[in-house]
Order: sequence, then structure tokens, then C-alpha cells
Amino acid sequence: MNTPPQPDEAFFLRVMRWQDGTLTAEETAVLEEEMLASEEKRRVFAEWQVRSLQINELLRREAYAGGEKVVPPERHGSRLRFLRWPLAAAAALAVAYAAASYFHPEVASAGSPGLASVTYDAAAEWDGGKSPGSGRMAEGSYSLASGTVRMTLTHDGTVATLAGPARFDLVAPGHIRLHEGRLSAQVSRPDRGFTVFTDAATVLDRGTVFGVDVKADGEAQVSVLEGMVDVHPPGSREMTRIEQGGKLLAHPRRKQQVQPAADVVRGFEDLWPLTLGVDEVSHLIEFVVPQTRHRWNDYRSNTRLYLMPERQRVTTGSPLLLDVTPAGAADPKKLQAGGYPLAAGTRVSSFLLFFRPEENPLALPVDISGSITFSQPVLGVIAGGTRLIQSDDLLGHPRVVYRDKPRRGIEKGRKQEGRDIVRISRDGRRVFFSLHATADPDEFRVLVAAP
Amino acid sequence: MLTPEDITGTLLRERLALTAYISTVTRDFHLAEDIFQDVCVKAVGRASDFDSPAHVMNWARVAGRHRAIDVLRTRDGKVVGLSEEMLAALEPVWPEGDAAQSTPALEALRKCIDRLTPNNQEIVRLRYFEGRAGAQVADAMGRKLETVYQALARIHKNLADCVRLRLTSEPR
Repeated sequence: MNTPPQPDEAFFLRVMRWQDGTLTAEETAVLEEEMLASEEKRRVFAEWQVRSLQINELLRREAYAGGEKVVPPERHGSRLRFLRWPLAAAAALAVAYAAASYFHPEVASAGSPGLASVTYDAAAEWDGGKSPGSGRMAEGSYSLASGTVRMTLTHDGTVATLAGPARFDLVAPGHIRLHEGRLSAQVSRPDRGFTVFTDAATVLDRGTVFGVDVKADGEAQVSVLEGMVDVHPPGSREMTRIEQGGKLLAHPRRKQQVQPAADVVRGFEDLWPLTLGVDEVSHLIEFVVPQTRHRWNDYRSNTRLYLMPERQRVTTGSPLLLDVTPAGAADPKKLQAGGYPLAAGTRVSSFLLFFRPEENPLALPVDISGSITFSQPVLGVIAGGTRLIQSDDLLGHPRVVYRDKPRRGIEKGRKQEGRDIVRISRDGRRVFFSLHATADPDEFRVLVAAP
Repeated sequence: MLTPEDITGTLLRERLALTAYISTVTRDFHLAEDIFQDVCVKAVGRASDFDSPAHVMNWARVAGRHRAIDVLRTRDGKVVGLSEEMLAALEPVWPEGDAAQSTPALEALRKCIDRLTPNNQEIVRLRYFEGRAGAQVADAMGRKLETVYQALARIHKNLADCVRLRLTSEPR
């Protein structure tokens, strides 16, 4: 039996572009013409379509094989129409359930790790008696009446922080539906994917730190602090990419509005630190969102130490010299001249803390002291001017210009009572600081182990 | 005349093939799944009209196609896609239930995907799991669009050959 000739490469290219929706009307007509003329091409096209869906199904089953009973992540339209035909609905629901079960055959068990676990809780009050008492959160609906909660998603370690009041569903591994409230997230493994559904937009994370704020009327604001996200209206594949610093407003019944990346990201200042792994800060610390036009002079205060997240989850390519380690020096007088090496290949997240008093004609010293606690171990602190400059490229925030920064580091060589001190606690999670600044600013970089 | 159970069984056996057919209109797997469920509701509601499983499937393909066009027209105001003539011509060659969703077929495909290079697996994941268009896959992987399309063409061909070989050589 003769095997029919295989279609040429141009045909496959047209099929792929057709799947993408990028064929023009004329090109679609060409594709149709050649398929109508060739049963083999129709057969190949049909197999291609079916195989594409088979792959989608297999990968979904694999992705959702986390031991939990889950439902498909994205549904369109109302199921209320089922009620019109009660008898039909019963059978059809059986079909739908069977279809869903086909993807997700696992059922939650008592010993299952759940879809997420709570890693931080600040005065969280839950509605409806459904609170993650054990810290594990199974698939289902949650209503956070007040407070803040941070959770880590089981399937990939993504961190999501929610501020009450917030209503959300954990629908599947890596998939959250946010009905109302504010959520910020930092994705641990972009290759595993993290998706936030809202009625106005679906947010697909691409390795980033971002926030979603859903109002009571369904309007959703998506803000990107770091990296990028793709957003599309529910039921559509038309993606809009939002780069870091950018913002998108979406409403279930209105057109999306994208605001440029130069905009200052606001609205999540209270959640970003928690999401990035800062558990507690002195009331003196103020979080700074990195901006393209960051002006150091805008951050002057006699009572505030500013905390700015820099590069997160970066791997050091060569040994990095630290000035303070958990077992190392406590104050600048004792800084080891050679520094403490941090091994190459270490995965770190960086935070810059800086203190710059207001203009002070009399040059009177201003003191500030407090602490900051991280969820992960602090690996060390860079506090020397030269080492700060040397580590800017690796650890500094890519959108912030450091070269116009005034004198770097913490001050040294003064009397005991006026000396700046930065120290790491015994448990390695907390950084204590006691800074005394005159006209010159104080600044240090904290390196935290990245999960 | 078929019972609602007969119809449910038929549609379940053909779920994947029918959903893939509907996605030929929607170009969106999720939307195609929703339309498949709509079709199920309607099919079960008119069980007495059908006299054979083939009758159910013929009706379901047409109903799914029309429903998909209606949904797109309502949502987008227009439908840009293959003509009704083309869609009708595809029906006779469309793979049926066993070929599309039998356990051996899916298992064979899974093993064949596992044999792809990590790079090709990533292309497959981005394109068919995340639903990214070719240009977005290229962007995500730092490749040219043409390179991604060539890779996808090779991947489909390899998977088709691999599955065929496994289904013919492995004992059932």
C-alpha cells in the first residue's frame, strides 16, 4: 500500500499560524483551498488539532497531580443554565464531573499537603469559620475579614500575600481566583506558572513580583514591581504584557487600560515587604518601591530608614565579600579588611537600607535604631562603600541608578558613641541597626538566602 | 431511541475528539471545553431524538460548531476562522474516541513527550499548556519565531511517529 505524500513545510507553517490566529484572510483561504483539495492534509490537520489538545490535557493532569481534588482552572460562562433542564442537568453534570475528574483524578486526603501553607499571619481574622487552622490550605473558598496573611503555594514555592478584606478561592495548584481584595505575589519558579483569575482579567505570571487589587465592582488593577506579567481578558487569548513598574486597569465591562512602565507602582506598599520575605520591621522603616526615575534626594527623613528591595533570587557568579555575617563583625571598627566571602553559586535576595537625614545646617547628628526580620536566613551585610559599589551590578535593582548616589556605606572611624552598628541576630533572621548620620547618608545592603 | 445514560457515555468517550473539533472554531481549549459541556446539556435534553451513537456524534459536532460560532460572534462581534464548508469537510477524517483518548493512546503520547529534549518539552509546555502563541513562545525562549515554528513542526511529526510506533509495537 502506498503511503500518501506528507504535506510540505509550508503547510505546517500555515497550520501553526492558523492556530496562533495570525493568518490573514487571504492566507486562511489558501490553507482552506489546499485542505479541501487533499484528504491527507485534512487528516494531518485533524490529527494536529487532536494531538495539541491531548498534550494540553496530559500536561494539565501532570500539573494538577498534587494530591488534591481540583477543578479546571478557568471556566467561562454561568452554570446556572443547567437549572433550566433539571433532568438534563443531572446527566450533563455527570459528564462535566467525569470530564473534570479525568484531568484531576486525585481526591484530597487528610494527609495531603494542601495547595498552600500559611507562613505568616498578622492579626488575620477569617469569615465563615473556614480558617487554615493547621496552616495548610486546601482547595476551596476563603474569606479573610481583616489582617494580613502570607502563604506559600505547595506546588512551586510561590509566595502570595493577601490583605483583608479579601475573598479568594484556591482552585488548583498555582491557580488562585481573587474575587475581592489585594494580593501580591512573588513567583518562585516561573517555569511552573502561577495564575490569578479575576472577573476582569487573568494574570499569568512570568517570573515576577506583582500585585492584584480587585474592587467590589470587579475592577482589577494589576501592578508589576519586578519582572513582567501577561494579562488577558477572561475567555480571550489576547495577551497584554505588563513590564515592571507598569500597571493595568481592567473592568469586567470596560476596556482595559494599560499605564506605562514609568509610573510609580502604588497600592501595595504594605504587602510587598511581606511578599518579599520581610517579616517584621521597626515602625521606623519605610518601604520604597524601586522606580525608573529614582531620586535619592526624595528620601530624606530624620525618623525613617528606607528599605528598598533590589534583585531577588539572584545567583552569585563569583565569591562576594561581605562586611558582616551572622558570626562576623558587629561594628565598622571590627570590619575584617579582607571581608567574609560568600561562595559563588549562592542564591540571594538583596535589600538596600538607607538613612539620610534632612538638610541640617548645624550638622547635628541624628540617630536611628531598630531591627528588621526576614523569613529566610540573613547571609550577610555589605556596609563598606567600595563593596557596595562593586556589588551594585549584581545585586542593585536594574531600574535604579546608583552612580549618582552620595557617599556610600556606613560611617566609621568615629568615637564609640557615634559609631554606626549593624549586627545580625544569633538566629540569623534579624538585622539590628543603630545609625548616626550627619549630612552624609548611611546605607547597607542585606543579603538574604533565597529559596 | 437512546437513553440519557447512552448519550452521556457516547459523549464521554468522544469528549477529547469533540472538544478538539470545537477548538477548531474557538482556537481556545478552555472555551471549547465549555462549549462541549453546553452541547452535553442540550444532547441529554433531547435524548429521544437520537437513534444511535453515530447520530449523537453527528449532531454534537454540528451543534458544537454552531454554538462556538455564536459564542465568538457574541464575544468578539465577528468570527474569523475556517469556513463552514471546511469544517464540514474535516468531520469525516476527524479521529474518533479511541484514537483520541484511549488510555494506551494517551500513555503512548506521554512517553513520547518524555523523550523530547528539555528544550522541546519547554516549547510544548509554553505552547500547549500555557496557551502562548508562537511569537510569545519565541519571546520567552529568546528564539526567532521561525525557529519555534520549525521546532513545533518537528515535534508534532516526531510525536505522531513515536505514538504510532508505540501503539503498534507495545503489547496491549
